[in-house]
Amino acid sequence: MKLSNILIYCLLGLFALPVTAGAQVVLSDKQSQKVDLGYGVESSEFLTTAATYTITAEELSHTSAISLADALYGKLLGLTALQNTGFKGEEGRGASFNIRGAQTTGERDILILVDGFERPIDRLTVEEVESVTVLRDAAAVALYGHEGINGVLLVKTKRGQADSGFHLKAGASHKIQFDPQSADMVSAFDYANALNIARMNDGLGLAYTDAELQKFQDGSDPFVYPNVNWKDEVFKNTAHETNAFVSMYGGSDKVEYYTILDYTDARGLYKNPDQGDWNSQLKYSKASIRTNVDFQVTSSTRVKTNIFALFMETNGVPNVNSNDAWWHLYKVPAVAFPIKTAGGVWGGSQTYGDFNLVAKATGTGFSKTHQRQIWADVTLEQDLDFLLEGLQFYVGGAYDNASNTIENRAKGYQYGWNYYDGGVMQEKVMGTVEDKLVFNYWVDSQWRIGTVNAGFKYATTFANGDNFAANAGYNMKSETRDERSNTWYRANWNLALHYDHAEKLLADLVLAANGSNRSYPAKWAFSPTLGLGWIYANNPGSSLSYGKLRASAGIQHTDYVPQAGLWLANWANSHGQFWYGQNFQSSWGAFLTQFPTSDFRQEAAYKANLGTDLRIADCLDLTVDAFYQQRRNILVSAGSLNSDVVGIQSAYDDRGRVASYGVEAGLRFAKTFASGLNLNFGGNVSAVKSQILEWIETPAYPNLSVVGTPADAARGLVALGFFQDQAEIDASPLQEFGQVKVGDIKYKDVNEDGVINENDVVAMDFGGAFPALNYAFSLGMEFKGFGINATFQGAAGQTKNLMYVDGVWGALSENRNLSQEYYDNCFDRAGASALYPRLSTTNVANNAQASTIWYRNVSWLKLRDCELYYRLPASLLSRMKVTDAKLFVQGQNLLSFDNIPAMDAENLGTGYPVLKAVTMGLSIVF
Amino acid sequence: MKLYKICLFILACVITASCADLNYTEENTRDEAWTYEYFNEGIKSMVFDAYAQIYNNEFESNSAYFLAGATDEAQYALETGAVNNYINGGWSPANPYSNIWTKSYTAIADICTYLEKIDQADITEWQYNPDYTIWVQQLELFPYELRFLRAYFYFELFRAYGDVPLVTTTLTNGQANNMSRTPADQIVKFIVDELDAVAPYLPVSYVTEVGSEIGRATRVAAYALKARTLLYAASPLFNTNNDQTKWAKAAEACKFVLDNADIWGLKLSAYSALWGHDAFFNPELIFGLGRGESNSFEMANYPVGVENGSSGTCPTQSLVDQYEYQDNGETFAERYPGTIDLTAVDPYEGLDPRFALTVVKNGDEWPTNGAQKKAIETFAGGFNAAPKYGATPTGYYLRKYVDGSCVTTADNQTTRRHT
Repeated sequence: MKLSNILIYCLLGLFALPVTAGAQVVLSDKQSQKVDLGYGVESSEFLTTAATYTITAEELSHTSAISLADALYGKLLGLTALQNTGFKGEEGRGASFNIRGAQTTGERDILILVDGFERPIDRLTVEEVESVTVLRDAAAVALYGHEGINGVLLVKTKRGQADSGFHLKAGASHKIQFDPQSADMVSAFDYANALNIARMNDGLGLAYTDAELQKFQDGSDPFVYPNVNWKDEVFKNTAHETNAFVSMYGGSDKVEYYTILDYTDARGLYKNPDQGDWNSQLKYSKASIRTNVDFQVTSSTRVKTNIFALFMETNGVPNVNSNDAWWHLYKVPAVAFPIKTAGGVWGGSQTYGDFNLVAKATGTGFSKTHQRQIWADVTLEQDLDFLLEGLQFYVGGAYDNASNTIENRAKGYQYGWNYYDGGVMQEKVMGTVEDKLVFNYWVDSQWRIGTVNAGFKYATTFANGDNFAANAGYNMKSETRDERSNTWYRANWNLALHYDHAEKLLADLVLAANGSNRSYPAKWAFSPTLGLGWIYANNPGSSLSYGKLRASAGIQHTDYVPQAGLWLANWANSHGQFWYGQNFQSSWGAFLTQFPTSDFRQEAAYKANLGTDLRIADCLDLTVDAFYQQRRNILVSAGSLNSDVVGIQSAYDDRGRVASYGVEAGLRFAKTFASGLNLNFGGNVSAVKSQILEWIETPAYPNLSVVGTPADAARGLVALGFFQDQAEIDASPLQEFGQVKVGDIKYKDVNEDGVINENDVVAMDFGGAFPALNYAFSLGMEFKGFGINATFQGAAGQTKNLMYVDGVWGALSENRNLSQEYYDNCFDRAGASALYPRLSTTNVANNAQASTIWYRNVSWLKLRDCELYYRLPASLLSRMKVTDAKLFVQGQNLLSFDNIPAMDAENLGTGYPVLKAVTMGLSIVF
Repeated sequence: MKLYKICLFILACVITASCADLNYTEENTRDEAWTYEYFNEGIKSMVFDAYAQIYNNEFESNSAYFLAGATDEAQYALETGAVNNYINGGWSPANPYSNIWTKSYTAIADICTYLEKIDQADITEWQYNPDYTIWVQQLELFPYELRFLRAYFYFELFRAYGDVPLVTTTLTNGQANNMSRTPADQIVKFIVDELDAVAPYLPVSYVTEVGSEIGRATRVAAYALKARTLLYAASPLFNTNNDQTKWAKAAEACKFVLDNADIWGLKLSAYSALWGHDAFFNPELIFGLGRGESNSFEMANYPVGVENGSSGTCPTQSLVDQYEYQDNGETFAERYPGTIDLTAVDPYEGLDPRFALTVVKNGDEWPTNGAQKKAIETFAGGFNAAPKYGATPTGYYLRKYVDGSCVTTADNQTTRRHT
């Protein structure tokens, strides 16, 4: 989509929607909105000096996502949530998250906590969540030690309220997903034509005669000259998701409880999965139960318990996950083979083997996974007022574990192809007949995490109105995941001090000692963080209702190391096998792999943040933050400094430095007018840039230096266009990647050495890992029970490589399929206005180089969520003893604009597509 | 007060539980001490690692090509084959497509490390192991084998680069960065001196040695390498002023090997016995590297059209032109300088029999295994020919070194030894 269209749409949205819009977003009560900074340290939005941003259950309820991970797109200031391809039942298919960009060349994962403990959120339902908070600056993440360095996402689940009686809430919804997008691939006739062009370009003979081309076009000989639209044969256009839940909550003066039972079911896009004996449809069924109970054991003792259990089963095609299946649309052309041969076996060929997607999807059995997760935690809080007024002791722990088991019931099949031998159609059949499904199973993954923490809290108010609070605590965590070097122990000692002068001048200091075995022998690091604040306005009811200026700075550390065990001299690696003896036996060699890296410092982040929070006229919140961070002591291989003559791989040196900086701004307006109209709108934007400051390198030319380029830089050649004729090739510098022909990419001699090779690459302007610019805006309105909501999310400034999508932009080289986009715009057909180089049957090395032909700066804008709902009037409900009832229609991804042809810029890949969706449902509270 | 005790108890629990072992690591136990304590898994593995680094890309699964593809002898069928970089302009100082430098110095470092540290090896605690006496004997032999291999790697470096840094001890990075190149003559002297020094200690054959571990370095290999080194050193590349004494030395070394070949048990064998399942035991081999049982080399070189075949290295007409006819010694090119009418004559009739063992031509039944045997069609539009993707660009396929008895069908594949 063109930028102008995007802008027009934005403007239309801005002007049109408020007329009909509205909703339930309310501005938070800053005094009562708590900000959990971890391990019992709590502040309020009013007093905190940290850069945080919180959204509540109301805002989350506008999405129809079936997991929390998919409900956060564009919702939180400073959180970049990007949607991934793949069927949601499979592991690792939810959103990917980032806070403040590519802060380092090392590990960039953020820490995600549910009720204070590290837990995944891709199987959590949206309904059970009370709030989600993003912690961005040093002051916000100070207590999370090594793991929190890249930012933290806090999820709080719902709890009962004291003396609130008993409530029951039930809801159900059904989602229809539609419009699976894939790049258009060419027909058999076009493919065969293109292959002829490609072969002529390569100096080979024609693949097909005109008579044969005719057969592809008219389909008169479908066995030898097939024309199969694989997408239509394998996939349908709609899929479904269903969700139902019942929650019960309430409380007395002794016990408060919240419990929810949720069932979610999703079905995928396969067309004819039902084979009688089995069904291979992509399927995802999940039941989860949560029980959160708080006990007031004595007047001074409080115990909180949370238990969550998840039971999940998925179904699919054995050994072919959803992304693999979709990828094959881009892999197997329409001409490859018919679905079934003339003799009735599955089609296949020598080139593509047995990869007949119809056969795989319907003829190979089915595969199930069984996943279980149990999370349990308990916290005891004991007031110690008898020792010192305001002193409290707390101790808590959690134990979470999960396992995922795969069960396959699979069989192979015979495949074959037809060909003409002397004018007579022959059939070649490969493989053996397999009647029975063969059963096997294995544990795919498991993990367990145990955490304990304990400490003392103290808070007091002095006579002059100053407040002081302190928290001294210890926590430790053990984490075990599959495979070696994935068992980590971490321990932290924290001292958090707060002082404020009459709630005007604020100071927070955290002194932390962070320990970890992951970066052994660098085990402990000392991490101090200081936050200062000035509340310069606090006049509810006036035009400037609230104003706060915040500044924070801190030094924090990560226990990431680029290689497990880098401190050891490891003799286990091998250069290969040696065969010897009368029996021709073999043994593996072993040698000293690498010089050990024993003396290094943990990677450290020096962070600074300046921000302000404003509330204007009690209806408009504004937050602006500017930040700067420098990562130091990044471990970099010292190999480029050392001669190969030493014969042993170099150690790492902690000399890398990366700077990152940016701004974040958020705006939220919410007001209920006298007429009963509730109107709200908001937006947030974040822009971030990173830059490598110091590196170990010996660049032969200035353009090869990584210093000054983004930490996630993509590097490639600068393309000048395509060679239009042989004279142009002759007049240009030699391109040393292989023979160059007319229609190949012409590159710029960046280092001006007269030849073009690897030494001419430059860094692209934007990094490849995350968008540099993220923005979102939302609108909502409610009037007389009718409500409407919409959230748009967009991003820009990210370099993506079209070559990764080789099914679309690899053209037909090496027997790939060919996209209509490439065919229409290749040099052979588009000539001087070509976007892509000539067709070739091989992967032409000159054209396959990373270059500006393939690197695109992508930008996109999507209507992530929209909702229309009706809340039944209270007068009607009260007669039925119902507190609240809501009917709703929700949409997902209904509009999308981007600057990449043929594909979705956000998901530039050949995976199972992200679908549009419409959901209908209702919820009732008794 | 009861509560106070509970709190104390919980605190005690936490402190107990909190003895987090931040020293806990899961790293591999194969450190230096372990390596020198175990014979087969430790000490011998280091020796084998040096052997494993001898260059032999041909039979590796991912680079199944011969350098012949870079010459007039053959053409690699797939344009993307790495060997084509030598001929399509991709070969440049920035892309040498050779790892001789890195790989040789890595192997040399391996060997130097072994030689310097082997004194700490103490296997006496295994003295009651039935193999102990064999181990002791092998332990004594290993340094000589490794010095042979070090000489071999210097030969490769000398051959490719001439003057190279001469490293005979383990180096630190600082030392390595300050090394300068040693003149080629001195490298040759080092190689020859080393080989002369170790050859008498190396067994003539391993067949009679303990363990019968044939494949390891022999006296024959050492003297043959010496002869080859001296020959290269005498060649115009390294002997610009044509120093006759160099030639004399080379001749002398070659003569020594030839004179002793029979005593050492070297014998001539059939051409076809140079490859195949039992080639490893061919008495004609001076020093052969086993390459395991596989069929990846066959998959890479069977013609397109044979299931899982991808053509690989295809002999050219230029190579075929050089074969002689048995009747009068005329070459193919001499007898048929122009176009040949194949319906009238069979130009392949009467050629040197090595032709048929090297080249697969149109009509040959290939591969030889029963499951896949079929007359090969290399004419345009034929079953194994263009326009099929990856079909032979020359009209011929490779037979030499390809073991036709390997079955490469989707199911029921068979593998054979390669050497």
